Parts: sequence; C-alpha cells; structure tokens
Amino acid sequence: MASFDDRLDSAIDRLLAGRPPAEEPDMLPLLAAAAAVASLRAPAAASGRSRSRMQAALRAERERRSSAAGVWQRLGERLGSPARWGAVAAATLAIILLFLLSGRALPGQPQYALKRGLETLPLLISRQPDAMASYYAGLADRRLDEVEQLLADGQPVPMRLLEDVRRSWEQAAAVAGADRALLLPAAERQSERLQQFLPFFLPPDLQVAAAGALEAIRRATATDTPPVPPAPPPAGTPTAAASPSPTPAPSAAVGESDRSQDAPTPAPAPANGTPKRMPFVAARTASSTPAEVERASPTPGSQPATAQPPTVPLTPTTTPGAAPTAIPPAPQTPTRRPTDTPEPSETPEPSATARRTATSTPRPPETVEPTESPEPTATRSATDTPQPISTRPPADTPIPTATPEPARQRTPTPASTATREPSPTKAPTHTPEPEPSKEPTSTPEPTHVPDSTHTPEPTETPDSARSG
Amino acid sequence: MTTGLVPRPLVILLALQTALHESTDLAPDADELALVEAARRLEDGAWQTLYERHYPRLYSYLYYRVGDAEGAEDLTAEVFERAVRGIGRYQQRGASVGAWLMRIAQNLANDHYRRQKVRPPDPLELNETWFRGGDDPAHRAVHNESSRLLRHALERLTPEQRDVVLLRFVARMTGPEIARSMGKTAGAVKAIQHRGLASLRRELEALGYHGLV
Repeated sequence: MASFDDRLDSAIDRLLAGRPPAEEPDMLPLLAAAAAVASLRAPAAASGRSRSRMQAALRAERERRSSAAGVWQRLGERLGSPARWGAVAAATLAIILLFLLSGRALPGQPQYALKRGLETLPLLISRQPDAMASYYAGLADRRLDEVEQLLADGQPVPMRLLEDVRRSWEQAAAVAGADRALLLPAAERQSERLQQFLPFFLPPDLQVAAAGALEAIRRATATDTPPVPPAPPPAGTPTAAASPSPTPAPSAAVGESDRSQDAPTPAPAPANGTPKRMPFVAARTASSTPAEVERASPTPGSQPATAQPPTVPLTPTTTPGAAPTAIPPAPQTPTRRPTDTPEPSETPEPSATARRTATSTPRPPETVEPTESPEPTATRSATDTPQPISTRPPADTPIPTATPEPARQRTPTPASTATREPSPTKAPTHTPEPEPSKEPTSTPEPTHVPDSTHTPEPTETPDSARSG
Repeated sequence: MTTGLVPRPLVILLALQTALHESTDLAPDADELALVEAARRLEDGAWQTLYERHYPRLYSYLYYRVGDAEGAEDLTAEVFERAVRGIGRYQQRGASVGAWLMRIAQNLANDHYRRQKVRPPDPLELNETWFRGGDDPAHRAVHNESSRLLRHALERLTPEQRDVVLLRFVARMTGPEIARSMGKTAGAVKAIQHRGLASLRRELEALGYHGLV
C-alpha cells in the first residue's frame, strides 16, 4: 500500500494534468490548497528585454565559439564532468600503454595487429622519400627482429615475415631517391643477419623467402651502383655462393664484399641442414669476429686445413634445394669433394675460381687464397714450390682426364697439407733445390760442387762447359 | 459538498482550466531532443522556441521568489543568457530542458538574495497587474485579493516548503525533477510537499481565505 505522501503526489499529478483526482476525503483539503497555489498568475512582463538580451547572448556566444580559445572551452564543455575527464585520461593512458606493449608483440599475439597498424601511421604522415625509404628499411629490421625472437622462443616462423622483409625493401627501393646511402647501414646489417645466422635456423622453405629478402636488399641498394646483380636463381647458381667463395669482391651489392668473407663462416653450424635452436647472441658474436669464426668453424680458408680446400665453391652445385644460395653448405662439401673433383662436369666452377687466382698471380697465386684466412699457412703453400706445377693444371683441367687430375687437384691440397705446421719444416729439407742444380752438373760429386763452388771449381767448369 | 476551503467541483474545474492553459510536460521528448541539438548549434529558431515555451513558468517562479516584476524579468533574461552560454554543458540525463532552465532560475533567485542582501518580498506589497481570468474588474479584484493572501500564506512556510510548493505548482516540475534540483530524494520531496500543503492550508484558514475565484 502506497503511503499517503505517494498517494497525494499522484493526486497532485492528476490535478495538474487536468484529470479529476482520487476521492479521498482527507486529501481534498490539501488538494484545494494546491489548486489555489496553482492558480497564481504572475503579472505579465512589460518589456521584451528578456528576448533581446537572449539574442545578444546568442551573438556573443557565436563569436566566442569562432575564436581559437573557444575551441578548447567547447572541448571542456563537451567533456563536462570530472568523471568524463578521468575516462578520457584513462583511455589515453590505455592507448599509450597498448602502444608501448605492442612494440614487442610477435605474430600470433593479440597486440601484433595493433603493432602493425601503428607502424603504418608514420607512412601516412611522411612525404619525404628518403625518410620513407629509411622507415621501410626499419620495418624490415623489425620483421627480422621478430623472426629472431620467434626462433629463439622455439616458435614457428610465419613465412610472411620474411616476405614482409622483401616487400619492405621493395617499397624502400620504390620510394628512395637516387642517393641510397641512407639505406646502406640497414642493408648491411640486414644482409648480415640474413646471411649469417638465419639460414641455420630456418627450415628450407623459409630459406627461400630469406633468399628473396636478401635479393630485395641487394636490388634496393645496388641500383645506385652501376651493375645490378642478377637475381639469384633459387637452386644451383651460387650467387650467394659468391659469398662462400673465398675469393673476394663478388660483384654483389654493397656490404656483400664484407659479408662474402663471413658468409661461409656459418658453414659449421648447419648440422644436416636441420634448423637448430641456438642463441642468436652466440651466432652473432661468432659471425662478428671472422677470425674466431674461422677457428671455430671451417671457413673456406680454414677448410684447406682439413685437407680439401679449393674445391669449396663447387659445393653449392651439389646442394639440392633452392636454398643453397643463401646457405653455405660447407659441411657437406668437404666430404664430397674428393669424389666430385675428379669429375669434369663439376670442376668447371672451381677451375674458374682457380683460374682467376692463377691469372691474377702467375705463380702459386691460388695459394694466396689461404692468405685471406688469417692463418699464415698461405705463405707456406707458396714455399711449396712444386705446387706451381699443380697450379697450372687447373687451367689444363678440361683436357686431362683421370690420372693426372687427382694429383693436380691435390695440388691445391698441398697448400692444405702445408698448413700443417709440422710439414713446413720438412718441406725445405724435402725440396732441396739442388735437384735442379744437379741437372746442369753432369760432373761427379755434383752435390758438393755447388756448395764448395768457390775457387776450385773454375778449373773444373770448363769441363762442365764443354760437356754442356 | 465542500471539502475544507474549496468546493470539490471547483477543484476539478481549476484542474481542467490549468490543463487547458498550460503545458505541464517538462519531460524530454524527441522533439525536445532535436530542439536541444539545434540550440547547441545556436540556431535562432530553436532559442526562440525555448523562450516561448519556458518563459512564463520561469518568470512566474522568479516573480514569486523575488516579489518584483522588473527584477523577475531581469532574472529571467539572465536565465536565458546563462543557458545560451552553457548549452554545451547541458546533459540530457532524464531531465528536460525546462528542468534545467528552472534549476538555473533557482540558483539565480538564491544568489539574488545573497548578493543584494534583500529580504524576501512582502506579499502585501506585491501588486498583481495581470490576471488570466479576463478583464472583468470584479474578477480582477477577487483574484488580486486571493493572490495577496496566497502569497502571504506562502511566505509563512519554511523556505524549503515554499520552494517545493512553488516549483511544484508554479514551475510545474515533477517530484523527481524537484528532488534532483534540490539534492534530495523523491520521498523527501513528497514529504516536504505534504507538510507544505498542510501548512499552507492552515495559513490560508488563518488569513480568512474563502475560495479561489
């Protein structure tokens, strides 16, 4: 049952609405008083000042709103209560936090879409080609970071990440001006990452994508330089093998020359080509110091020490998949070399490299190759004078078939054998140049003669001259 | 049959008359929402409509608060000036524009007493110059006398009771609107309303009030 106050209020509502109120005897006196008050009428306002003042206020308000200060004032009015201000502040804070958190997001995480979305914002704002190109390069860097992080976490790496790297560099190349110098640091850094450690931790299918990204980097940075390196066919042609080849200066893009020396270094890691989960920090440090890498891993320069050096470049042809371009499959090659080298078909490439070295330096220049490796073994190979003979055969390799080749192909190996520290000491003993001296000297006791050829010999020399 | 001071048929007649002459609807509706949006854009037409619709109640309320027609008009003009400046802050949360304007009028009336340190008007000094009932001098005289007594009786109420009675029967605000504007619960307002009407009846009886018209 409603209280009297409620019933009275309802009756007043009906009264004011023009409807007859409920008939409650105790309520009627109150309703009569209410009706009396409701009948009050104020005297009419004499003037229209209220209206004119309102219109003046309207004009003033319009002017205020058109001013700059009015914008902020209206914003404050829109927000109104402190609760609204708090809500706006909380939302802003949440957005900032989300932005910060999304910076470390990885594919598969909820914030990752936000991260990628936010990454596009600067591109909408910027209109400077150089800045946009640098930003695209930076985006590629981020994708590589994500790849590394996923690998380190043992999570699968989406292929689109590496495709995004390639895409970013294509876009960077598209927007960049003639001067690509700004892109060089990023290109160098990312090429290093792609070449050095990614191949060892990526499954083969992703390595193809990595190779594509690498090629995109080359193209983006090489357009400035005259020759555009040909696109690396996926499988056999070792464009990336240019890096594995110990010979320097593969025509490749900027930074490749540096990398070409380091590229083979990763060879040790690829255990059967299966991606391993290794701390990238270690991979980086190893790759960063080439000397250490060579010690720890059989670099092309150090491979000779293992006994089969110069044929290294051949190995890429033996690698099956398309990945080989980026992969320096050094570990497999050493085992195959002995068997492969005799075959003429595979030899051409190594021979080419051998030719270069041979042509560049007449004598045992190929022995110079080891010089690239920090080890001083190369000098020793030079000391192995017999090898010059062997150095020629590579040029002759097309002709000689079976028998001579093994010996010739081993000829580079002498360099490797020479690398063995013990051998060098013997070499001088074994290679007594006297032999050549023996040839001219048909006289008896020839060996002693050269040694003691001082005064007595002049007398004998006429004989020898006569005999000659 | 009569009930107390007023014969019952007259009460009903008065109610019908009130309904015919005034709109008591202060609740927001679709039309008012559109009107408010237009008013936010400072459209002249919207403000003219608001003025026509709410001026009488605002003026009446202020007149019985300050007791001065000129002062009431000034305050009413100020209500609309403040409304123009503050329409951006107006939030439609169940309260109509009429209730919002009336709230401004309440604050202005309270400030008016505080600022000028004037005493509330003497109801006996109020001069009724307008009466809706017509130009009949006899009717006008009766009405003026009745009004004078009513105002006198109102002045004897407590400020809280007087305010509730004026807001409810002159400004035609609903119980919840009054509660919101006074910062009280609806139940408290109903109780104040009940006590105020009871006191008013006693005062009118004491003053010899004999009827409305």
